[in-house]
Amino acid sequence: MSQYEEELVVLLLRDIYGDIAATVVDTLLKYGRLTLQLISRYSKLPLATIQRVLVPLVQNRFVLYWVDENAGSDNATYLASTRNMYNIVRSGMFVSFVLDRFPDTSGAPDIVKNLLLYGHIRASDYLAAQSASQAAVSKSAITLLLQRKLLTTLRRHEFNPQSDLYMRIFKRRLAAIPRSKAVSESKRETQAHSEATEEFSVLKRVHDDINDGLVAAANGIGSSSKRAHSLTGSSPSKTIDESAVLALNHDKFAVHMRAQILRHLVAQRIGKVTAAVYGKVLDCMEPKLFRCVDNTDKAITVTSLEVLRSLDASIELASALAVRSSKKRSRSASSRASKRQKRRHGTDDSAGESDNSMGSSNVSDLESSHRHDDNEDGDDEDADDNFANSSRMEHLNFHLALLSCNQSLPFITKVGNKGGGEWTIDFDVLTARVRELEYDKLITQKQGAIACRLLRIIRDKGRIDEKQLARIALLPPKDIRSQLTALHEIGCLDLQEVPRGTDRAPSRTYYLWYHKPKCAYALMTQAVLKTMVRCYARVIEERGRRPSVMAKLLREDVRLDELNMLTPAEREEVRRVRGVEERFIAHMAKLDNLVLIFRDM
Amino acid sequence: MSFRGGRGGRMSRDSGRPTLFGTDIKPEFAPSELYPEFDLPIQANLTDLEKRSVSQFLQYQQDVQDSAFYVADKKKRAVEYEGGINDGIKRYSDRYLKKRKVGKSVADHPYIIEFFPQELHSALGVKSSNVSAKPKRRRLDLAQFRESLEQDGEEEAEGDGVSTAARPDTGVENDEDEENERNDEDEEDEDEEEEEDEFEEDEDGDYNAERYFDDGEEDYDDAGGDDEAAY
Repeated sequence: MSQYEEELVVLLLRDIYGDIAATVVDTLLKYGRLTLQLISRYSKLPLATIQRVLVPLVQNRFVLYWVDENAGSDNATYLASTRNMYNIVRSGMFVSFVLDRFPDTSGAPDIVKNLLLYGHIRASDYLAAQSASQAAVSKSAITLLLQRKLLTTLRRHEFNPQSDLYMRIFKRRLAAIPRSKAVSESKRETQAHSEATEEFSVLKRVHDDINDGLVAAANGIGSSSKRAHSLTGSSPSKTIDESAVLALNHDKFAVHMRAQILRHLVAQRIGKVTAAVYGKVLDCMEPKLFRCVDNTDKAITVTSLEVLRSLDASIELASALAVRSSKKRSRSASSRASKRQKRRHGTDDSAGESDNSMGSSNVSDLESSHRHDDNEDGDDEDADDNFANSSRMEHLNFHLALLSCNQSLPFITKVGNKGGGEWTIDFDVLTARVRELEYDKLITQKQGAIACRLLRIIRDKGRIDEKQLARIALLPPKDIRSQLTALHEIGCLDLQEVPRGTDRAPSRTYYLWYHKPKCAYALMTQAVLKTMVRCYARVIEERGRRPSVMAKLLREDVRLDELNMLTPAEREEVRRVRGVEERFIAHMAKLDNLVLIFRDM
Repeated sequence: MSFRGGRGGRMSRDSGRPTLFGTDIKPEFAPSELYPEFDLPIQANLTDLEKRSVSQFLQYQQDVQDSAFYVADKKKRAVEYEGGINDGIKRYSDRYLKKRKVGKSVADHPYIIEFFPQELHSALGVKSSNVSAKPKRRRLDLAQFRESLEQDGEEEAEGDGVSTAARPDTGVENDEDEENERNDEDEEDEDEEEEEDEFEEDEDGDYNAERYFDDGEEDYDDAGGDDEAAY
C-alpha cells in the first residue's frame, strides 16, 4: 500500500526468498494485478520461472490469486499482499513467544517453526512425517495451539483477495433481490450491500468457532486438562481433525502483543503488582478476543472471581497497597490522599481536575469502608491485622479499582457486581489513548517538550489560533511560531484558513491550528517503516562488505567448529557482523512495536 | 487559491499586524551542513527475549534458504555450490561448500492442490488431468528444530538439511526409529555424493601411502644407500 512498506517487503523477500521472488513481487506491487503472461512481460523473466517462484509465494499467501468464473479464460490474476508479507518481520517474535509459553519438549515450538517455514501444512502430513512417539506429542501440542487460536485452519477463500470475495457475494445477493417497480435500483444495491457485508463478516469470522479444526476424540485422547476447559470452554476431549490445514494466526499474536504493551503501560503508570493483576485480567479475556480490531458490539466481561482464581498465589496483592490505621486516620489518610493525587497528577498531565476529584473520592470510599472495620477496635495493630486478614478478594478489588479510576486512561471499567465485580475493557478508547501517549513521546523526542505541550493544548482545544495558543501556553508568540511550523512540517498539525472578508488577504484571515490524529499517525508510521527499510538495508550492506568471510561461514566444516576454522581476524569480523545484525534486527522489532500501536492495534 | 488575492496580500503590507509567516521566521539561504551536530541516541543493551527473537529470525532466514522454497536461477550444472567462487575451477575446498541441488526444488513438497490455481499445477508437479494417480509424495522435510541453535548447525551439517530436500522418492515409508533413518539417509547421501563428487576420496586414489612409503624400519638394516628412495 505505502511506498516504504513495499520497499521493506521487497527487501525482506530478496534476502530470504531470493532474487526472483523479490522481482516478481516488485512487479506485482508496481503494476497491481497481473496475469502470468503480464508478469512475465513486465519482469522480463521466463514463464516457467515465474510459475515456479509463484508456488512458494502462493503457499505462504504472500501473493493472492483470483480466478474469475465469468471471464472466458481460466487465467488467474495475482495480487501481492503486503500485509501478509509484513508479518515476516514478526516471525522471530512469534517463535520466541511460543518458546516462552510452551516448553521445548512439547513440540509446540517445532510446529510453529515448521509452519513459518512452509506457510501451511496439512495436519496428517505433519504427523506422518514424524515418528510415532513424536506424533503423539505433536498431536496434543497442535490441539492446544488450536484451542488457544495461535494456529488456525485455512480454507480456500483465504488465498483470494478480500475485495474480490466481497464483490462475488455482493453480485450474488444483488441477483437474488428481484427487480420490481416498487424497489428502486439504489435501494436494491444498498440492501444487497448490507446483506453482503453481513455474509462477508461471517465468512471472515469462520475461524472464531471454538472447535475449529477439532473433532471429538474417539477414546478420550486429547487436551483434557481442566484448565483448558475453563479457559476456552470447549469440551475437554478434543483432538485435531487430520484433514485440517494448519497455519499461523498472526491476528491472535497481535492481540498478545497488544496485551504486553498495555501491561507495560500499567507497570509504568501504577505499579508492578497492579500490572500483574492487569495481565491476569487480559489473560482471562484472551480466549474471547480473536483479533485486535473486532467490530462486534458484544463487550467481553470478566469477573473478579475468575481473575482471583487464575492469579498466582505468589503475587502479594497487599504489598502494594497502603495500610490504613485508625488512630492517625485523619492525618495519615489525608497525607496519603494528597500523595496519591500528586502521583496521579505527575504522571497524567492533561487529565485536569476531574481526575483528582475522582481519585480522592475513591480514596475516601476505601477509607470509609475501612473505617467501619477500624471502629470496632481503636488500635493501630488491630487495624493492621484487619487489613492483612481482609480477604484476597478485597485486595484484588482494590487493584482493579485503581485500574479503573483514571477517566482519561481507563484500563478497565466496572459494569456489574456479579461474582465479586464484573469488569470490561473498552479497547477502542484505551488504544486511542495509548496512541496519543505514544505519539506525544515521539514528538517530545523529535521536537522537544514545548512542542509536545503545544500539541496537547491543540488536541484539547480542537482548532485554535496562535494568539490564544500563546495565551494558554504562557509563552510568547514568537517562540511558539517556529515550533508550530516545525510540527506542521512533520505532519502533526494542520492549518485551517478562515477568511474574514471576501478577499483572502493573509492579514485578514484567521489561521487555526488543529491536529488530525489519523493523518498524523499514518505519516508517523511511514517514517517508522522508512527507518525499518534503512535498518535492514544496512544489515545487508554490512554482510555484503565481507563477502569472503560470509561465504566461509556457510561452509559445512566451518559451521561445525567456528572457533578453530577461522583466523582471529575473521572471528573478529564475524563478531562485528553478528553484532550489527543483532542490533539492527532488534531495533526493527522495537519499530514494529510502534507500527503495531499506530496501525494494527 | 486566488492568485491575485495571494499576491496582493503579500505585496501590500497592512499596517500593524504582520503576515503569519512573514517577518518572524527568516529563511536561511546558506546551504546546511552535510553532517550537522546531532545527539545520537545510543541503543540500550538487548534483553534476553530480544536476543532470542533475533536469533530465531536469523534461523528462519537460514531455514528458508535451505528449503525447497528458495528458487534460484537455473544454472546448467546439476549441483550448485553456494558461496563458492563459480569460475569453473575445481578446488579442494569445494567439498565443504554448502551444496544445493538446483532444478529439483519446488515440486518436492507435498502441496495441497486445491489451494492453488490451475495454471500453477504443473509447477507443483501434478500431471494435469489425472489427479488420482498422484506420484507418491515425499513426506515433509522437517528439520529438527532445537532451541539451542548450535545444535541446529550440527544437524544441518550432517547433511539432512539440504541434500535430502532434493532427492526424490526417499523416506516415503515411516520408519519407527528415526535414528536409523537418518543414518540411512547419511549413507545414501554419501553414496550419491560420491557419484557426483568430482573429487576422489583420499583413500581411493592412486596414492597408497603404505605401498610407496618405506617406513625406514627396514632401512637401517642395510647399511648402504642402495635401497630405493623412500617417498
